[in-house]
Amino acid sequence: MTLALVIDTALAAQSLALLDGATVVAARHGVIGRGHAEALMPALAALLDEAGATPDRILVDVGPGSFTGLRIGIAAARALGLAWDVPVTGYASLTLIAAPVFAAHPDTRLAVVAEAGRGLLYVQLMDRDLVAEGEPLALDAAGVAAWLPAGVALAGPGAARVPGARVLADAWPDARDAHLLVGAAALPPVPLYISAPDAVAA
Amino acid sequence: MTLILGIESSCDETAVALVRGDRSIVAQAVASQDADHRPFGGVVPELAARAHVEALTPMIERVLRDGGVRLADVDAIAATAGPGLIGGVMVGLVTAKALCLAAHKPLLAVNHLEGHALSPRLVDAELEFPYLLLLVSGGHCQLLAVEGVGRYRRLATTIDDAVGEAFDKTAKILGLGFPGGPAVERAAREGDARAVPLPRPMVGWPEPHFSFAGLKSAVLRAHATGNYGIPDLAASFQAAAVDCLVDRTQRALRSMPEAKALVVAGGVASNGIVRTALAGLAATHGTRFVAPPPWLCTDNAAMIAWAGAERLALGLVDGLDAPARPRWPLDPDAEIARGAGIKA
Ligand SMILES: Nc1ncnc2c1ncn2[C@@H]1O[C@H](COP(=O)(O)OP(=O)(O)OP(=O)(O)O)[C@@H](O)[C@H]1O
Repeated sequence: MTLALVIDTALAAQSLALLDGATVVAARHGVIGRGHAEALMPALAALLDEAGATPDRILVDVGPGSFTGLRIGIAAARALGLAWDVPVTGYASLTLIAAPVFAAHPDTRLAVVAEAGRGLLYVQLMDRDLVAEGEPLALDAAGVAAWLPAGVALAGPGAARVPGARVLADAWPDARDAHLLVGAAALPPVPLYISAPDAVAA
Repeated sequence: MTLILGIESSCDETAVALVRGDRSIVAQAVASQDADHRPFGGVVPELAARAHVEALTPMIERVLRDGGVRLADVDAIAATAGPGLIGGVMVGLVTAKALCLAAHKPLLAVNHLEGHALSPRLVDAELEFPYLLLLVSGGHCQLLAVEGVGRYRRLATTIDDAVGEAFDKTAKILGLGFPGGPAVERAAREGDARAVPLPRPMVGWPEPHFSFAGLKSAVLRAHATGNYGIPDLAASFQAAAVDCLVDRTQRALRSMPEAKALVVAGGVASNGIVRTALAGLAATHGTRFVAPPPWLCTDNAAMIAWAGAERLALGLVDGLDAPARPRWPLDPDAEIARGAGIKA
């Protein structure tokens, strides 16, 4: 078996999983808001204890998301990779949100959103191979509604706030879904910083 | 012999060090972000946090390699847990926690100021408690009675700016660039310290504290007259700042007769004029004077590793839930000095 540790602290959810292929060996998932720095390591310790094995590779959410949350997840992933001498790769938060939606609705045209803080949403079009179209944007809910092309459904935390949109899911990214990322791009473990035009930090 | 890995990321230096309990430094690295922040004339917290997350893990790998050490050989991992810029502190602390978790090592969540406070003991095995510490950096200006590891009594603090901040602001006023302290010291070498009349705030006052805001404003006004050259302004400012430090330190020395030494630490302690003046004060008092070498005065990870070694020896280890703290006074019982509400 090859065991993958998935660390997702990009958004308000702290989502951790140990996956053997599609099998969930152990997982933790909860919405904690801002306390990632203190909560992550005890949760990881409990997760690893439960599994009783050392991961063979590490997957980490590199954004877009809260800058602080991204840095905490990525710093942890890189340090664990160093200590265990295992590879660390990144994935985009919006692809992990999209993956289970496409699994349930394969023929949808989809735009993925995620809460960006200060009332804004990250948004990006994505195809069923989890290839994104264009750069992610940060817009308010009305801005997303105006931007959304006709016939495109929405998924992701905050989707329900977008007026008039057809919403397929409104859930935080869940580390347990990471086995669905097989086709998605493997990114370097460095944060993807997306700012709203007037924002510098999240 | 105990081996500690130390990590520092609380301001604009990313630093990693391996230090042994016998005071030997096995390997270390410091990466300054000066170039990233220079265009802004000061440290930009978000830029600092971004640089730390990129630089830290490769630096840890390099320092381990340079030291010929595997992570498994390390006895504990120490990281700055505050006070400082919280984004950077979190990066260093989370990195340390993850290494501890993966390698089954104890964590030492170190107060950055304790790193400065104990740093003289890293280079001077004879330095015993208690000693009087003048801690002078960009964020702090304090006199502390150091009674033991984790036992600090604050005798004085600044009621407005820290002295390093005054150096930095003066450098900005005089157009000397960033970081300001070394630039002011360099410019001052060509100047006359008596050329510009400047105030010495708090000197001679019965209150123990420091104040530098008025001095900085006086520099601004003197510069605006157009009557003085930059070197004279720099030299006169530096002399006034040193007079303030010496006067306040002398007052504290008198109030702490049990002190076995006068010790200076923090970035401003790398200033040659400051060191000479304090050495003179200690000599007059018949007290030993200890100043760490300049590289140990500015932010570095060897002092964090050393503070970790001192704490580990006393069994003072921390849990993986140790918080990152933007503020963390060394003496939590110290009264707030007037006007100094936001400074530790
Ligand atoms: N030669 C010098 N003369 C005067 N000041 C100096 C000199 N070298 C450095 N400094 C000052 O020291 C400060 C940097 O100190 P240091 O690296 O210890 O701490 P910091 O990160 O600013 O603050 P802290 O340790 O309080 O968080 C700056 O304000 C800098 O201008």
